[in-house]
Amino acid sequence: MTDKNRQRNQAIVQSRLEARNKSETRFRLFGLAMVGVAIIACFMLILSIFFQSLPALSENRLVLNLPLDAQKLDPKGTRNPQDIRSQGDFAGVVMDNLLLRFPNAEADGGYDVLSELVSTIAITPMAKQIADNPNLIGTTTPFSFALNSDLDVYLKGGFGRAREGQFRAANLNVISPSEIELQLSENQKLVYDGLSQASQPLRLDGQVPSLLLFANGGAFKVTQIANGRLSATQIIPPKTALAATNQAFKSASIKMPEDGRAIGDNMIAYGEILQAEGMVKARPNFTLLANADSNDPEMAGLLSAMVGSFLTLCVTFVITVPIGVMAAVYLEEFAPKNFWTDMVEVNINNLAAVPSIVFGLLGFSVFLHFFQMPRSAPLVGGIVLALMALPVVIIASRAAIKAVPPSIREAALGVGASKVQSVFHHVLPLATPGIMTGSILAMAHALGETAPLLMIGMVAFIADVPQSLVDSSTVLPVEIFMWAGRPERAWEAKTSAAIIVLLLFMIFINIIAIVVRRRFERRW
Amino acid sequence: MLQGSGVDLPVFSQLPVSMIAFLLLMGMALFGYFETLKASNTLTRNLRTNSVAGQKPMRPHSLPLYHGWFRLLCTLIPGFGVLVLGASIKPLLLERTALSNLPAEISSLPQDQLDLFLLDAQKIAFGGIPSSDTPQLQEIANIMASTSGMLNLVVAVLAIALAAVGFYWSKGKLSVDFRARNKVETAILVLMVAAAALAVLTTFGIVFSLVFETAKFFKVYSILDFLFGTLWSPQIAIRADQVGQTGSFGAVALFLGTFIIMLIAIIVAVPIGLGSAIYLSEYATDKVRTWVKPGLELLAGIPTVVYGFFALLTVAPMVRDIGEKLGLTTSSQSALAAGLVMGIMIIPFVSSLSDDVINAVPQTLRDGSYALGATKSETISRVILPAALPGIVGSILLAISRALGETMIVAMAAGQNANLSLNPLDMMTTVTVQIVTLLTGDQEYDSPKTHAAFALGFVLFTITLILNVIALRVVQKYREKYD
Repeated sequence: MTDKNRQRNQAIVQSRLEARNKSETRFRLFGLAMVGVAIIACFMLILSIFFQSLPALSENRLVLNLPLDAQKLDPKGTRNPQDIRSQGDFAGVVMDNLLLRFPNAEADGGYDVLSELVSTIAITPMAKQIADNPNLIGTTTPFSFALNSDLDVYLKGGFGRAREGQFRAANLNVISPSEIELQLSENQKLVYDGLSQASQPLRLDGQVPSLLLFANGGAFKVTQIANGRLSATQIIPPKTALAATNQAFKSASIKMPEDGRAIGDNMIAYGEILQAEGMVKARPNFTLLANADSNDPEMAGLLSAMVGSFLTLCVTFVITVPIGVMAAVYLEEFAPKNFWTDMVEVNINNLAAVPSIVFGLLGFSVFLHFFQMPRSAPLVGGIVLALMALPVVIIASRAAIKAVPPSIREAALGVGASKVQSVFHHVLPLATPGIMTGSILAMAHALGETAPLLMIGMVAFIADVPQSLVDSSTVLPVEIFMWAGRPERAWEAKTSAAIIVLLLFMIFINIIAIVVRRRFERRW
Repeated sequence: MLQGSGVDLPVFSQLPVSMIAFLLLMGMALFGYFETLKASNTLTRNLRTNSVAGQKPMRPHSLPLYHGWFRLLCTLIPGFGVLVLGASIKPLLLERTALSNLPAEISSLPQDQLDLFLLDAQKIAFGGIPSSDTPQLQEIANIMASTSGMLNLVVAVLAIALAAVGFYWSKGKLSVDFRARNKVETAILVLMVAAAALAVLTTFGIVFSLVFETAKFFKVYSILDFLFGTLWSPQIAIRADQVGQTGSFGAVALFLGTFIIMLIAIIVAVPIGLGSAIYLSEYATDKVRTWVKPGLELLAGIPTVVYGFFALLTVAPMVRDIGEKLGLTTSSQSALAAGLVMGIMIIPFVSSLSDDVINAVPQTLRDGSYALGATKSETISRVILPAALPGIVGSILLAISRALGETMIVAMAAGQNANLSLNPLDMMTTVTVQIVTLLTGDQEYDSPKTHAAFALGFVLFTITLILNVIALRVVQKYREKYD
C-alpha cells in the first residue's frame, strides 16, 4: 500500500464524516422525537379527560326553605308514609315556593321554565325524606335539589357563558310593559360576543350570541343593538321600577347561539337570577359515588356499576386464581415434556392473544344459550372474564414458579419429601408473591374490559344496586360506554369523571401489585 | 363444573334441598377428616408406646394429615359427583316430563311456539316474568315444579347415601401400611391436570361455538355472498314471507373498514413504537429508561373504553376541524380518528416487544460493528435491526392482531355505517363493531343476524389466530437463537 492510497482513502473518509455525523444526530433526534410523541399522547389522553371531568366535581343545587303544607303533602291526613309518597304533591310545594319569588311567571310563560328547573327524579329524595319523617309536615324545612343538568352545565361555564359585564344606561324608555329601550352612557363598555360590527344595527335572533340584561331583580333579553342603543324584551319583571336615567345593568353574554343549544335564554335568565340571589348554590358533587344510574345526568351515579364491577371481579378472582395456579404448577413441575403438553402450551399462549370480543361470543352462545344462565348477571360476566384472564394468570404463575431455583426443590426431595410435598410446601410459597402480582395485574385488566361484557347483556340500564350474583347489573367500563353515547351535554363531564374513578381503581390495584412485589418478592 | 355450582335457574329456586344436602356432605366430610386425624394420631402413639425398647418404633406409611384428607375426599367425591350429575341432567328430565304431559293442542304447535310455551312454564314454575299466563301453562308449571322438587330430593338422598358409603369404607382403610399420601397426591394431580385442561377446553369451546353457529349462518346465506358481497344491511324483513328475508350480509365493507383502520393504527404505532424502542435501548440513559419505559407501558394498562372516549370527544372533533380548515368534508366520526387513537393504544405492544428483541441482540455484534468504525446509527440500522428483524416483525404482527380485534375504540369513534370507501375521513365500520351491534339489544337467538355475528367472529378469530401463531413462533425461535 502506498501512502498515496492511504491519503486518498483518508480524504474519502474525512469528506463523508460530516454527513455521517449529521445522519447520526438525525437518527438520534428521530428516536427522541418518537419517545416524545408517545409521552405527549399519553399526557394528552389523561389531561384531556381530567379537564373534561372538572365540571362534574361540583354541582349547582337549588336551595329552598319550604313550608311543608299538610294540605298538599298529606291530603288524607293519615301521616302514613305510603300515603304521603303516593298522594303528596311535592312538585307543587316546590313550585309554590318558586312562584313566591316570581309571581308573574304564571302570566308571562315562565311557569314552564320554572317547572323544568328541578326534574321529577330530583324531587324524589325530598319525597323520601318527608315520607320517612311525617312530623316534618307543617314545619318549614330547608331542602336542596339537583338543578336541571343543562342549567348546571351553563352555570359552570358551558355553552359559552361569558364573564358578566356591567354598565349604566344614560336614559331608559319603557315602551310597553314587556319592552324597554335604553342608551348606553358615554364610555360605558358592553361585553358582548357578537359585537363585531358595532356601527350597523344588529338584530339578535337565535342565530347569533345572546345578550341578557339584569337590573333590580328583573331580566331582559336584548333584541337589537344599534349605535349603543339597545332594545330588549322583558323575561322577568323587575321588583322595583327601573330608573329613567343612570340605571345600572348587569349583562350576560352567551356565545353559543340560542338555536344551537339545549337550554333557552329564558331558563338562563332564571338561573342567573336564582344564582345572584343565593338560591342556587354550588357545592361538591357526591352523586357520582352515592347514586345508581339514572336517565337524568344530574342524578346519575356509579354506585350500581361499582358494585357490579366488584361482584364480577370477585367471581373472576375466585375462578381464575386457583385454576390458573394449579394449571401453572402442573405444566411447570409435573407435566411430561411431550407433544400434548407442547400443544397445551401453544394453546395457552395463543389464547392470551385472542381478541376479547371472541370471549364475548363464547359467553353468549355457551353460557347464555347452552347453559341458560341469566343475562346481565355478574356471575356470567365473571366467568367470561375468568376464561379471558386464565391464560394471563397461567403465564405469570409459570414465570414465578420457574424463578424459584432448583436447589429448593432438590433440598426438599433430599430430606425425603415427595414431589407434591416439595412443590406445595416449598416452591409454591416462595413463588406466591410473583403469582399474586401477576394475578392482581390480570384483575386490573379484567376490571377495564368492556367488549365481552356487551355480548352477555351487561349493557343494560340498571337503576338498582345489584344484590346478588344473578341480579342484572353493569360494570364501570360498560357504564362509561353507555354514558358516552347519551346526548345531553352534562354527560360529557359525568363520563370523564366516571373514567377518572375507573382509572383511580386501576391505579389502586396496580399499587397493591407493586407493594406486593416490593415487599415480598425474593431475588435469587 | 359450571352446572355443579347451581347456576341453572331451576336449580336456584329449589336451592333448600340441595343446600341441605350440600351442608350435610360438608359436615360429614369434615367430621370424617377430624375423626381419622384423631384415630391416626392414636395409631402412631400406640405404635410408639408398644415398641420394644432400643428399637426404632414403627410408623404408619402416611402422616395423619393424609389419612384425614383421604377420608375427606372419599366422602366428598361421590357426594358431589351425584349432585353435579343430577343438576346437569335435571333440565333434560324436566323437559321430558313436561312434554309427555302436554295437552294435545299444545304438543301439536310448531317447534318455536312449543319452546316458548315450555320457557314460560319454566318461568312460572321457578320465578321469572312469563310472556303469557294461561291455565294450561299453570298446569304444566305445577307439574314441572313438583317433578323438580322430587328430583331434587332423589338426587340429594342419593348423594348422601353414596357419600355415606365412601365415609364408612374409608374409615376402615386406616392402617399402618395404607398409602394414603399417594392416593391424595394422585387426587391433587388429577385436579391440576383438569385445571390445565380447562385452558384447552376454552379453546375448544370457542372453536365449536363459532363453527357451529357459522355453519347455521351459511345454511341460509351463501358463503360467497358473505365474503365477497358489498352490501351490508343486516335488517331482517318485517314479514316472514317477504322476499330476501335474511337481510344482506356482504361483509366486504367491514373487512375494508377493519383493514383501513388497522393500517392507520400501524402507520402511527410502528414508527413511534420502534423509534422509542431503539432510542430507549440504545441511546437513553438508565435514568430516562426507568421513567419512560413504565410510562409507555402505562398506555397498555388504560382500558380501551377510555381510548374510545378520548377518540370520540377529543380526537374526532380535532380531525374534523383540521379537515374543515383544509376544505375537506369530514364526518364527526371518522376512521382516521379511530385509527390514530388505536395507533396510540398499540404503541406499547410494538415498543416493549421490540425493546426485548433489540436487547437480546448480543453485545458482540455491536462491538464488532463499532470496531469497523461504524457510527451508532449505522450499527443500529445495518447490524442490530437486521439481526432483530424477525422479532420486530413478530411484534408488529401481534400489534396488527391486537388492532384487528380491538372493539371499543371503533365502536365509539368509527361509526356504524358500512361504507365502501377508501377515504379515511369517512365513517367506517369494522367487523368487531358489527358483532357488537348485532348481538346487543333484544333479538332472538336463532336468527340470521345472530348467526352472522358468529360468522364475523369466526373470520376475526381465524385471522388473528394465524397472525398470533406466526408471530409467537417467530419471536420464540428468534429468542432461542441468541440465548
